[in-house]
Amino acid sequence: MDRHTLAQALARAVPGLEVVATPEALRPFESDGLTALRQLPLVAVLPDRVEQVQAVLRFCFEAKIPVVARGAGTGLSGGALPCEAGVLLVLAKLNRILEINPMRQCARLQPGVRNLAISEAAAPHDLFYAPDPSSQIACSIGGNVAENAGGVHCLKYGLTVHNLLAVTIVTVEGDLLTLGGPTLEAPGLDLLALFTGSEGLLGVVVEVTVRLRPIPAQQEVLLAAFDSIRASGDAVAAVIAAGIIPAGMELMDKLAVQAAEDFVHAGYPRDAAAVLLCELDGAPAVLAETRERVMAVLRAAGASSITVSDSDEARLRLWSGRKNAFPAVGRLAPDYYCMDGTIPRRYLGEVLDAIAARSEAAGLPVANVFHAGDGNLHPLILYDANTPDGVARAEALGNEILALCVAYGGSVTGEHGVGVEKLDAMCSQFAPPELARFKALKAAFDPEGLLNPGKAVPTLARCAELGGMHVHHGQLPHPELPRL
Amino acid sequence: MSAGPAPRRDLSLDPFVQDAAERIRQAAAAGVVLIPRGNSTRDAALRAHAGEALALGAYAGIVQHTPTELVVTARAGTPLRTLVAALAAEGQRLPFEPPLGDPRATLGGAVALGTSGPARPYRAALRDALLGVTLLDGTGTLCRFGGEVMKNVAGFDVSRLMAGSYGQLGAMLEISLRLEPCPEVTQTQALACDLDDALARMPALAARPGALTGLAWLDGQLLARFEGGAVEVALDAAAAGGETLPPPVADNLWSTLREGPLAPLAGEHLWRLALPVDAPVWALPSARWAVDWGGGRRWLSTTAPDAAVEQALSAVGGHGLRVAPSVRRSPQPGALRALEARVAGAMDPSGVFAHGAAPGEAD
Repeated sequence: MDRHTLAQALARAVPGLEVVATPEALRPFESDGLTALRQLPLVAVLPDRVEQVQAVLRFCFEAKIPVVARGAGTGLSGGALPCEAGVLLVLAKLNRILEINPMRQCARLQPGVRNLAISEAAAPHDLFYAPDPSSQIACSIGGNVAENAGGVHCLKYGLTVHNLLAVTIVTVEGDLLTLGGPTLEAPGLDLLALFTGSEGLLGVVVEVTVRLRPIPAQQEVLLAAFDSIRASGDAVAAVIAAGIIPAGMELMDKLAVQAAEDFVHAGYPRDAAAVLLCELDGAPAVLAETRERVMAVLRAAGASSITVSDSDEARLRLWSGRKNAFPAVGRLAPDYYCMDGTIPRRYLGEVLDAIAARSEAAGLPVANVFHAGDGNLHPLILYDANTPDGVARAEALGNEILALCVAYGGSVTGEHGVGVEKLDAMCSQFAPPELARFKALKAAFDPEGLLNPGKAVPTLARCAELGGMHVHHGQLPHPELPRL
Repeated sequence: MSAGPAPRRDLSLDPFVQDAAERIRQAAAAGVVLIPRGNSTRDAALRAHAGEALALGAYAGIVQHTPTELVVTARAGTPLRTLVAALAAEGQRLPFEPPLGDPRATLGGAVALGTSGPARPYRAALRDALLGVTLLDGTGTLCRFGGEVMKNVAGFDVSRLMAGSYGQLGAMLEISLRLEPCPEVTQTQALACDLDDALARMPALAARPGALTGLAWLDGQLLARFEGGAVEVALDAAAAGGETLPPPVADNLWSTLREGPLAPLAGEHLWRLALPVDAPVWALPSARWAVDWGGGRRWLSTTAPDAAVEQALSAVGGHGLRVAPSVRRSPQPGALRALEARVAGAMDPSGVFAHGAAPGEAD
């Protein structure tokens, strides 16, 4: 079906539906946050009612047309990259907060509600929604569910999957189905857990019920400077080992600290090899007690200086360097490639050293800004896409880093998702039997593979072609390389 | 320089695993139904179900516990009490406070039933703490989902799907769980009141951020448990009011709530209900109640017919598990049941585990 015919057929089949079908008007939808990949869909549709979403899916199911759902388009792995022969289902207009229920400490939301808007709406009831991806001003709750989004405060309050009560989906056939409910448990298989983070492969989110939490009385940030990246990584493990779970624990290496300082002047020590930001929350007397314990651990771990925020203003200033770190690093090179691997916390120092060695060998600088408390690394590989093999070299280093994470018992993605970006890396984390189960689970929801095809789960053929990439039972792909 | 990462264990070389895999393959080929079993201590919680036992209780032991990591990996046959004791020796615990049951009850059984205890609304559910599962699927193939890291969004979340799956998706071999440090101080406040009064007071107690890890009503007392640092616990307990219970008395009450606080009398049916916290107390004949999760979980023993309970449940959007005289779950929409069956089929294509021993919707 050509673009014009499909647009007309959809408009006829779904009364009142906004259909976008000219290349110029489709341009804003050609990529998500992973802008290196671009593809125009055949058409984009912007339903403003759940019934329209159902009608679009019914139409596409009948006509065997692929459907890619899109929230705010802030995803970093190409999960919402359109399908050339498909419909892009944009859920941005379904953006109403349906209910804030302070008694039940929950909120019922349409999928296009922005993450930050939930906490803003809950604040008058002294409640907040905890998962806070860095894109929280723009990203939407439907996308958060699809990606199982994380954020700075996941260390203490959990990921999206830990903060959901129910999700209503439209199935590939166009039917409504609610997974979970208003209660904390439901009989039967935990399909809500399976659906969370399924990257649009299993169904389209049209309503989300999230848990809200009481807002802590007070928050403060400790900034600790370290003379080596290794010591800072070990300090993170030491805080957790001491039985303290801070609200957030973030690390930045020297390159990131200097870039952030040049960009926003947050007052970071420019000469530090690494800076650790540790957020604590609670009643003032509780904070005082925890602060003392954390400071003792950090000093013992080799912190060369510790600054404590003494006001909300100071706290926000200390955070500003971290929150602006990505754009700040972006000023250091024409392009950067953001990785998202996770590792057990005890290997943080070791893996950061190993990344530095690989960065030097590849001749590509790497800045590290990441959720250290969760063991979730975000190495930013600096490169120039305009040099002949710039992209290829950056990707090669990226895959090497992800293979390193897998070898250390970690994962190729902690919160950004697989999308199309990490399909190859998936082959290093999973063997054919697991991939076969993923395929079968996909088919249980979407037997004809119409929902977000080609994303999240690589084909066995793709992994077979990569061959040498596969890290089986902890063996690195290049055993000849020196280990650090 | 360092030793680098520990090599990943290759379970496919383990004779126990090889035998179990062969057993599954043969059963699948012969059309025999297998029931994955630990030490068979929780039969009363299972639907009566014809098939041969796949005995997994012997596959026991803690595989890896790195205290600094707050993660444990143990074989599914490990007795839960053994695991809990080993963690306690390192000052750590399971955040979901599961019922411990019989001394031989296993970790695998706990995951298969998916039951969380009093701390569930304030700390974590069992599925929240589940980081990774290694299992034999319905084709007898070894699969490893998730891992030992806190964050992992690669592939579908099959690990968490195993919580409450009643053995219908595969035979679990190794299980990785997130842990939490044991609190420095635990204190329980009690206030004598009736159930309506308790339910009316609970939302205000739950609205305060802080050290609350249990909110229940049992035997005419509203109970609020606080855990954490000494300063925080003292502050929150004082704000809650009531009298402070002696620790042994309090521990006894919380373990009663954890293990199941009501036993049905002759002629009564026992239910474990999941309800919105603001659901009213139902007027039912000879109803005895115990309440946990700040009103979100209610135990009910009653002579009322099941239909009356199920009608009351559907009116508030709740779910119920009839625990005695035999297990049965409250009805679910047909489309959801059908999807569950397809998901089970994805993990077990030949139906060798035949939907396990999960409670059905009929007697």
